[in-house]
Amino acid sequence: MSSSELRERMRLSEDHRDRILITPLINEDEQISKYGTIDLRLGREFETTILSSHRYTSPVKIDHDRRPARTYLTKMIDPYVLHTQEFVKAKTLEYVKLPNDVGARLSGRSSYAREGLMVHITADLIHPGSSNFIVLEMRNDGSVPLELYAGLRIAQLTFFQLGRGRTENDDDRNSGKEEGGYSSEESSKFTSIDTPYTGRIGDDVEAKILRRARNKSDLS
Amino acid sequence: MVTKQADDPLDHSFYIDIILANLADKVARYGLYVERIKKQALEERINPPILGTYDLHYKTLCERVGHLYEQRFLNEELLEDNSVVFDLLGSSAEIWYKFMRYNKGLTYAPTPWARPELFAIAEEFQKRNVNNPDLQNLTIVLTNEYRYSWLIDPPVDTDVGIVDDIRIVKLPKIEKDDPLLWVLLSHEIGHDIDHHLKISAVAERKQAIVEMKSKMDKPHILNDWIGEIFSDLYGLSVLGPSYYAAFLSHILALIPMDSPLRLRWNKYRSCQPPMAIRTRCMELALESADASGWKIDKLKYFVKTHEIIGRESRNYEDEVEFRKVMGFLTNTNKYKEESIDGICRSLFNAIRSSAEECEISLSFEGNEDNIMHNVNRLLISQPACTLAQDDESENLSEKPCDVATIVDAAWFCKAGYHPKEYTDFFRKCDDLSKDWDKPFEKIAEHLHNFDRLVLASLGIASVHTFYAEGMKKLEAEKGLKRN
Repeated sequence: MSSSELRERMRLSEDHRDRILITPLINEDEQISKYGTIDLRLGREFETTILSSHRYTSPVKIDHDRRPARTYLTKMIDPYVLHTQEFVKAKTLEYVKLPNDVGARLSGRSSYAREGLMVHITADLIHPGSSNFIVLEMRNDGSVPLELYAGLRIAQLTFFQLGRGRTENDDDRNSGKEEGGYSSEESSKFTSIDTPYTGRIGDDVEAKILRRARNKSDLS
Repeated sequence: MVTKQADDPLDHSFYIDIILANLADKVARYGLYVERIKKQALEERINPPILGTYDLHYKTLCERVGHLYEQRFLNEELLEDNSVVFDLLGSSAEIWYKFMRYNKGLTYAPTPWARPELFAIAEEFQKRNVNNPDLQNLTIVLTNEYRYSWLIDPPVDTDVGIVDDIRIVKLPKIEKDDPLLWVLLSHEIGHDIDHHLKISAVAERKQAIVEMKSKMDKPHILNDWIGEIFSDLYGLSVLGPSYYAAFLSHILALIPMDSPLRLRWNKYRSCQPPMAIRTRCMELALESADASGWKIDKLKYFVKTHEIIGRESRNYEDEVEFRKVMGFLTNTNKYKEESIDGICRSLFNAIRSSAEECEISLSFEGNEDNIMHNVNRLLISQPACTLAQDDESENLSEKPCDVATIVDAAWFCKAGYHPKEYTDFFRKCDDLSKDWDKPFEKIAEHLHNFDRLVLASLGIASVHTFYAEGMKKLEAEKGLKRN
């Protein structure tokens, strides 16, 4: 999606469901590039897992809400120091809501990438229709610790428009169903406003089948 | 006693729905709090048997509120009958007593500290309208009592030599993560400012108050009322209409605890003015601030309720009784509504001019565009809500929002949508006698998400202000002072 198309879709349209919402934009001109990408800022909240009391993660054990984790809330001008090979989860400052016909891809910014910073671990797709703060899975692969501050432009989004998918969503809308897209799918895991940091591998259908099978074998 | 006048019907169903929604709200929060305690216990690898008791309490409360909803819907056509209304109010009062008793039981649970944002907001409330370097930070204590209060330790009368006063604000522990009810903290901070700057003492010397006192049987009562009304006006000056909405929501929920109509003119304790006077004084402040710009539909939800109950409370017998207590024994047969409105005006003017003498402004400012932007944002991000988009309601050139703007927006959003959603949840239950915890889970999840969104917005506001206008601006006027 080009810069002008992006700006167009971010402007108010008659149907708010067609609109790309990214808020707050502290400096619109600075954050939207002429190539149609938009920079996202780092929020204040970081979460790490407490390794000493966490034995393993398993898709057949539903313990994702009870995994021991520590949340840090940084002060405005104090850094969070990401040490080498350390993994931390953080949220973007911006709340992103996509219409049902627009998806996005998350990527890092080259300046930070050259310092060894990764902002996601292979899951870079933001589904059409999703609405949330984006969780950054950050890791410092560089050889020196890195200071991170709230509000830094640390990642960027590129947008793409769906072709045929649009038709299905339109059908949903015309048939009077609830708004289509990612947020309305029963299988969607991260549609709550309160974006969870923890993964939901245990919510996959396959994991449920596995769990049932294991329970049966335990009983027999 | 509720008296219904032919030309002045009281919309019982509307009033009862608000009380039920508030009750459902509180019980859902209780459930959330119990969940949080259990999670903490798990992290610390403790499993006190008391946790099972809290679960049982929550289930009992859900069941009770469930039956109350059942009763309310089954009796939909019978709500014209006062006895049905009293049954419902009586049942809700009973649940309230139970809720408060269980709340005290939480004493034995692990007690996490208040969030840092709460302290930051308290500081913001304290210093926003008062430029006095002597004003020290308050100690905020979370308690198991369901009440908000300010106190000084040791008491003012005690001579303790060189030991400084410790000023404490007590908040109910169960509301520790609910940013919308932090609004009421501003009232307690008003008491602290009053204690520090002696605004009540200045107001007591005003001519209008002296004249009123000369006519009263119990003139000392008026002195005690001034502090309360000043604190209300201070809360309003810090937070604007959201203070009014939070206050009404809080007292409407608690009304069945006392009498069905604690808002009535003659219902007061010596230290607490009648609710009707408190709300009227706040309305005067809103009017004087040219609140026409604030008349957003969502707030009308609360205003309408107040009007309904206000109408009921202004019955003739009450007025006579009130005037007797106040000492205005003359002309009782020539009832004039202006006389009580006049009391409110005198109090309001005396307090406002006294505050000005002490260099405190009780006026408030707000940015309606920002409010509308935030209302929209809160609505858009909740899939259950539909958005009535207004062409001029949102634009991209954002200005940094302050705490008051975000909280205002959240209150309008809550006032307009949440109670209706709760009612719908319950209506959708085909069999009202079972699975009561399911609708409650939905309500609890909804509330939790909403609170998180408001909290996130407050955090974002501070970052936004810092980058848009710098640290000085952040510290001086807007956003959170500490993170």
